Amino acid sequence: MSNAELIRNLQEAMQSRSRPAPYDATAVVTRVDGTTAWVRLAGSDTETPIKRTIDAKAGDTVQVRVSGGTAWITGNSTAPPTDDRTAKQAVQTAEEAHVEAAKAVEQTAENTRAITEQAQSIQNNYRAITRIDTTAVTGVVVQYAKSDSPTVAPTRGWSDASPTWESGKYIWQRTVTTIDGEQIISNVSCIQGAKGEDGADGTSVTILGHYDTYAELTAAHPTGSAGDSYMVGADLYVWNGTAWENVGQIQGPQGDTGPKGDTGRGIASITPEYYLSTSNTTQTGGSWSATVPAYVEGRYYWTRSKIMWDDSGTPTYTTPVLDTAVTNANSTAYQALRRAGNAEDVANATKQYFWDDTDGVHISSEPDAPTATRNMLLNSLGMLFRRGANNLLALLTGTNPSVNIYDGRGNADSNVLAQFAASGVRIGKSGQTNIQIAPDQVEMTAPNGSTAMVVSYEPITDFSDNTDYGIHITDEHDQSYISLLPSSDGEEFDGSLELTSVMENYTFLCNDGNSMSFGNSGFVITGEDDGWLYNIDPLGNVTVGYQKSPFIYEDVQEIVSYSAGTIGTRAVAISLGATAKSGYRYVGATVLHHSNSSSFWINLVRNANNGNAYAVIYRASDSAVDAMSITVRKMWVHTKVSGEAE
Amino acid sequence: MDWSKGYTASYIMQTVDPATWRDTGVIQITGGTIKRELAGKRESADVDCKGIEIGVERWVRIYLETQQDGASARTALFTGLATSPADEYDGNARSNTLSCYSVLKPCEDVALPIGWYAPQNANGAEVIRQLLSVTPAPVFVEADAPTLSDHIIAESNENHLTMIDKILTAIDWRIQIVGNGTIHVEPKPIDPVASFDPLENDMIETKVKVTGDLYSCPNVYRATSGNVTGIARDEDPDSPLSIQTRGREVWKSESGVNLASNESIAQYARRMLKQAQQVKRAASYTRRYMPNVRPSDLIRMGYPAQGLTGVYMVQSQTVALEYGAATDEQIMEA
Repeated sequence: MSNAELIRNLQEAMQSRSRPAPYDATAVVTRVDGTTAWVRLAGSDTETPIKRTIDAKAGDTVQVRVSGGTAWITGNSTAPPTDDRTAKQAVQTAEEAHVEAAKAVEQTAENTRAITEQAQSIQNNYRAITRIDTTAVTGVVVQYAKSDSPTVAPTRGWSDASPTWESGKYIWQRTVTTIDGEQIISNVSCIQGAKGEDGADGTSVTILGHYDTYAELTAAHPTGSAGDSYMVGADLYVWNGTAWENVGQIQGPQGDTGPKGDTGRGIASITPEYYLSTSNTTQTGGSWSATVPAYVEGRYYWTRSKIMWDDSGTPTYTTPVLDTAVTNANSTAYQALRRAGNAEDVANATKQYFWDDTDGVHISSEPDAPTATRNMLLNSLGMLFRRGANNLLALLTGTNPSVNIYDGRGNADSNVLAQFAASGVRIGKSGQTNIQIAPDQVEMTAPNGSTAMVVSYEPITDFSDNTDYGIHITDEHDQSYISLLPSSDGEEFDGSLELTSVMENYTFLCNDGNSMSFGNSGFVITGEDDGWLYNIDPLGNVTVGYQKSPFIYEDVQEIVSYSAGTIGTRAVAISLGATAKSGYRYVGATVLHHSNSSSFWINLVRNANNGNAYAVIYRASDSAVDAMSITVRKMWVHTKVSGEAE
Repeated sequence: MDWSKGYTASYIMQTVDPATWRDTGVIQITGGTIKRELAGKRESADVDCKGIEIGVERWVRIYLETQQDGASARTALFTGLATSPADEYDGNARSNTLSCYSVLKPCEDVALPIGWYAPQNANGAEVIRQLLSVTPAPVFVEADAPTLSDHIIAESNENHLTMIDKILTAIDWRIQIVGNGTIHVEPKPIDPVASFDPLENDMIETKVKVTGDLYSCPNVYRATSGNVTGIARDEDPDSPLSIQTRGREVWKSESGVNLASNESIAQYARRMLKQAQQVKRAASYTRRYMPNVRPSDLIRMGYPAQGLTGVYMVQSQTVALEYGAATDEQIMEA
C-alpha cells in the first residue's frame, strides 16, 4: 500500500465515523396536511414534512425522530397523545375478565345449590322408601366427602352434612343403607369438580410504552411497579412484583354471531384489461383495452381487472399494476424481432444464386433469374456485372481487352461511360464530352463532338501538319482558339503561340522569335534577327524599321547630319524633306549609328501643314555631348493602300 | 482500437481547469493504480509522479495512450481531485505521490442543512442533478426518471453524496462516472455491455476465482420503514434455506426502507428475503482493459470450464498503470 493510499484510507475511515445517523429533535408544528405535519426542526429555518403518527396541530411542540430518510412524531409536548385505544382496550379486557370471574363465582354457587337440592331429593326418596318398607331397611343416608382426586374415592371424611366448597377439592357422594343393622354402601361417585377460588377484583393496567424485544424492555426498565406494563411486539408484559410477566397478546373475547347478511352480490365476470403507458409510474399516453395493445418500444404495460356484478351494470376496477413481466417480455421480443429483421435484411442483401446455361455462368440475387436486379454473367466476352440485362461493368477479354463502365441503359458503344484499354483511356461517352488519354496525347472533346483541347508532345514527325500537335483551346464553333504549337523546325525554344478570334478578325502570331503586342501606344511588331521595329501609334504615326513584307522599301538614303559637334539644346530636328515622291510615303527614319546610343533616341514626326517629315533627335540628359556621329537613314516606303496606284 | 488485441500502453496526466473542464498542462507520472467500486465516491487513484508541489489541491486527468498497428489513440481513464501528500527523495531525485479522489468528493464535503428534504413526487434524477451542482464535473441526466414516492429527510451528518445514494436507491437508478470525469445519472442497465468468452473475446487471464456464499443467506428478513416493521420468514420445509430445513434462524435486517408505490412493508420484506436467498456466484480475475466496462455494468461471461457463464454485474475494478493496463475485476451473478 502506497503512502497516498494509506493516507486516503485513514481519511476515509475518519469520515466514515460521521456517516448519516438517525437523530431525535424537537420541532414546532407549522401546519398540518392530512397525515403529514410540516414542522420547523430546532436549528432549521425551513419547513420539513414528517409523518403525523401522533395527533398534533399547528403551534404544538413535538418530539421528532429522523431515521432512514423518514421522520415522524414520537411525542407531543404541548398536547400529550390522545390515542389511548390500546389502554382502553386493556381496561375493557380487564373489565370483561372481571365479569367472567363473577360469572364463575355465580356458577359455583349455582352448582352448590344443585348439590343441596339433589341431596334433599335423595333424602325425600329415602323417606318414601322407609315409609314403604320399615321392616328391613332401618336407614338410608347420603354421605359426602372431599378428595384431591376426581377418580379415586376417598376412604375417610364421609359425613352426612353437605360439605362446603373448597378450592381444589372434589366432592364425592355415597349412599349408606342400613338393613337390619347392617350398612350397605353404594353409589359412590364424584359429583362435583374442583372449582377455583373467587377472583380478586381486577387492577387497572397502565401500558407505559412499546419495545421491539424483551431485551430492550429489560434494558430500559430492569424493574417496575405494580401495574406497570409495556407492549413488546404484540405481547403485553406486566410487572408481577419480581419480574416482567408476559400475559400474552391483548385480545378481546370473540363476538356474537352477527345477523344474517343481505343476499350477496355475485360476480358475473372478471376481465383483464391492459394499458400501454409512456410512464412506468402512472397510466398516461394510452387507453385501457380488453386486448393486449401492440408493443411500442419504450412503453410499459399496466394491467387491471374489470369486475362485472350480476346485480349491476356498473363495473368495478382493481388498482392498476405495472406489469413488468409482460413489459420485459415484449421489450425483449421487440428487440429480438428487430435484430432478426436486421439479420434477415442483411441475409437477403447478401444472398446470391449460381447456375450455368447456354448464356454462360450466372450469379444472381434471385433464383433462376438471369436478368434479376443484380446479376453477373461470365461468358466468352468476359465478366459482365449487370442490372437486369444491361451491363454496368464489363471486363472484356477480346483482342483489345478493356474494362468498360456502362450507363446501365444498354450495351451499345454509345452506352459506355468510360473505357480502359491498352490503346487508351476514355472517360465520357464517345462523340460527347469526354477526355481521351492516348499514348501520345490527351484530348478533350466538346459536347458537340469537336476537339476542344489537345495536349501532345514529342516525337513530332509531320511538320507539314504541325497544327495537329501542341495544345489547342477552341470555342464550341472553332472560331476562336488558342494554340500552343511546337517548333516547326524542331529546335528548342522555337515554338509559337497563336491567338485567333475569327469573329473580330484578329490574329496574333508569334513565330520564329517574332513578337507582337498591343498597348495604348499602338501596335508593335518586333523581329527577332534584324531588330527592326514597326510601330503604329494611335495618331497614325508610323515608325518603321526594316522589314520585308508587307512593305516595299525604296530610296533608302543615309543622312549624316552630325559627325562631330555638340547638341546644345535638348533636341535637334533633321529635315527629311517633303513627301514629294509620287506614290510613296515617307514612313520613318532611324538612327543607324551613333557613338553613345544610350544618350539619344529619335522620333519621326510629320509636319501636318506641309507634309514634311523630320527626324527629331533627343538628347537623353543635359550632359555635354561631343564627338558625336549620327547616321540617319531616310526611307521612302510604298505601301499598298487600297485604291492607290503603285 | 481493438482492445482485445495487443497494444503498447503509456500514461500521462494532465491538470484540468475546473471552469472549462479542459486539459491545461502535463504532469509526468511513473505508475499508480485506479480503483473503482459500486458505492461511495465510486473511484479513486493513487499516482506516482515527479515535480509536484505538495499541499496544493488540483484537478487532474489520467490518460492511457495506446499504439496499435501504427495507429495511436488516447483514452481518458480517470478525472478527479488530487493532492500531493508527500515528497520522497532518492539521493537527489525527488518524487511525489498523488492521492486522487473522484469528482464526487465535493459532494461528500458539503453537508445538508437540518430539515432538508427531497420532496415527494419530485423527479429523482433532477434532485440528484441539484445535489451534484457542488462538483465542477459536467452532469448528464437521462430523461423520464421516476418520481419520489415519499419525502426523503436528511439525517444527522447527511451530506450531498449520502443523500444522492438514498435517492438512487429510492428510484432504482445509478450514477456512472466516465474517464473524462463527466457524471451520468441514468437507469440501471438491463443489457450486458460486453461479452467475454474464449472464442470471440478472450480477455480473461487464466486465473479465475469463483465462489458461492451459502452460509450468510438469511431465512428471516426484517424491514423497517419509519415506525412500521415487516418480518418475512422462510418456513417452507421444501426450501433448502428455510428455518425448518436448517434448524436455525439466520436474520437479516434493513432499516430506513423507502417503499416503492403499491408495495407494503410486508411485501417488501418477502421480496427482499427471496432476493437475499439467491446464492449468487462471485468471481475475480485479471483481464485486459476495456474502456466501456465499469462497476454496476452487466457483462456476459462464457467460460463453462471455469463454471463462469451467464450475466454478471461488475462489483469493483483496480486498473494498474502498468504494462497493458491490467484490470483486476470482481463480479457477481446478476
